[in-house]
Amino acid sequence: MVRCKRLRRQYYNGNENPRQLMDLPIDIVVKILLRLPVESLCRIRCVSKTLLNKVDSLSFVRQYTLSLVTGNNHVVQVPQLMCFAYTSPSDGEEDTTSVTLQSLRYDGGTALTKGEYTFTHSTSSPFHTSYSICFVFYNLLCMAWEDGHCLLINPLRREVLILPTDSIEQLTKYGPNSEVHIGWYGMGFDNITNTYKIVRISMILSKEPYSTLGMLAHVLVLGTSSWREISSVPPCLLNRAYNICAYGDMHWLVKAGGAIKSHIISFDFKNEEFCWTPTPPTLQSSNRDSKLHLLTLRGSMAIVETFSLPEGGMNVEIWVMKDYAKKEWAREYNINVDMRPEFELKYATCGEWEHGIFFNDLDNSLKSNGIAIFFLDLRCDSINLVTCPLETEQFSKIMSYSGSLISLRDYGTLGYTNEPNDELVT
Amino acid sequence: MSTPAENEASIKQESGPSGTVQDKPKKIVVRTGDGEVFELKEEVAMEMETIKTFFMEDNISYETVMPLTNVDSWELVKVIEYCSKYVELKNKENFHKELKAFQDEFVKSMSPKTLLSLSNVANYLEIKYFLDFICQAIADHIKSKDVEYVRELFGVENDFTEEEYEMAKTEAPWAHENLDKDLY
Repeated sequence: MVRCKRLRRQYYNGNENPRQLMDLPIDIVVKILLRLPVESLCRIRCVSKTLLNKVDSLSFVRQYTLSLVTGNNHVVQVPQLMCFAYTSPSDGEEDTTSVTLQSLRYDGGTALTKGEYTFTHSTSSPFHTSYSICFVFYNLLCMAWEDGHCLLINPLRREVLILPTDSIEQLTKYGPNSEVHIGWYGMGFDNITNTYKIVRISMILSKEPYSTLGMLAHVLVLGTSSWREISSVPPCLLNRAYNICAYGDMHWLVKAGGAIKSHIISFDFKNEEFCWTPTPPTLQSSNRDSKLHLLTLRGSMAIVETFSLPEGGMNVEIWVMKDYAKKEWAREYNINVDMRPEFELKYATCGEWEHGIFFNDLDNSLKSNGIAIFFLDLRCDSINLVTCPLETEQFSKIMSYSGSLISLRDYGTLGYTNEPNDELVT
Repeated sequence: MSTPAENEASIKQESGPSGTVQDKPKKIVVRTGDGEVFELKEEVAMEMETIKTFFMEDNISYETVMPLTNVDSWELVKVIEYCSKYVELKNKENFHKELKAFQDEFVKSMSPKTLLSLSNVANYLEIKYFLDFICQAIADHIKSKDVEYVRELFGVENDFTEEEYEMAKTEAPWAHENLDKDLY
């Protein structure tokens, strides 16, 4: 479609034709903006009021998120690093938890330093180690407690959104001997209704004898106030350690036992149903005792397979999903590194940094002073062991996140502060 | 005045005894806003939807000189250069690789203001792939530049008050650090 604004004839000198941005049809301006990374758009909105209103407009944010999610905006977001730590409550305050999100910078070598901002949040619910951060959706983090208390945090804008709760624990669907435990959360983008949605999966347990009777799933449309039960449930229990948001959907890598290899269970937010996503066929048929990790790599879903080599060192293979619609994988990396992490990354989580991947060895960190992270640089196949600069003896975890324009302000009243390092109590 | 249909008919009549159609390269003539007349190969001209619609919709003869009042001659030169190359590479095996090499060379010496002009022309002539390419080139250029640079480049007035500007900045303070220092 041509929006042909009548152009003023301007005198020119070869290449010196002084065309200005605001003379361009708005369609072209938007085309350019859609191709910029989030950090750049944060600057663009400071250029003028017109541009501020454009970048902040709900319609532009949705367009931008849509192109992020479908991978159409040709922008490869540089992943950033964030450390999540909790400090144990001091005596007498055992019912509060203080969590800190600290940005980190990695120089590609051996230095991991604190970034510019820290965000601390206190809550009156007791901390439960098995929850921590439930998922990372671009730049939004979700924290949840067993009692159904759930928060969505945008640490960069210091926004905290308290999600609506319902009385799910009181559900006695299977009789008085049963109880409901919330297990997992996920977030995605439905590009049909242009809404963000959160899925919550709960288990129905019988108290005596203790067993799982069934599962329940609910969906919340961000900005609304109630959870809606859906008929689809996951085919098996999910694993919280490996979940990723990709392509607008949510994915969990389910650990398998014995001869059965790991699977990926995905939640399609458009149809609101759970389905299997096949893992690479060669991975399925291989019978070596390797460890699998799920992460996003430059916007695509990826599986990292680590295998300790008998002669020492470790083999790392990375499979990347090339076509989500067709569920096609390609093996992009096959690297041997000459460092054998002590614990074979048995309990490690995996994430992405600007030039490669990292392993957050949780088991190792419990034993040494501070968190140990292995950074693998995919440009030169080198691996470095780095210690996190956070002074905390408590459980910490490094995560990767990337930018988005979503502001939680558009979805409800927040516990919100603009002051750096303000303690926010919810 | 002959229509495109008649043009084709006349070509058929010219075919030799062996029955093969002789290749008569068709030209489309346009006049730019600054008065210069250009002859374009048909296949290149048809890459531009505006030109294509002009001739096809009402069966206008190729003898008509189409006025392109919103396009300057230097801009058309660049557009022809890009579209000709695109058409040439289109069906080749190494299309993406060779196109990328050409694109890098194409934008190398261009000032950002030139790119802005070309984006407007690409939009007016309705050449989707060229518009996408130019917008990407502009985005690549400004993505690491600071606020002042973008203002200067796009000729936009700062209509914020001190306070409003600081407020907008604090939404994402980290975005204003570690940027390219070169101005032009």
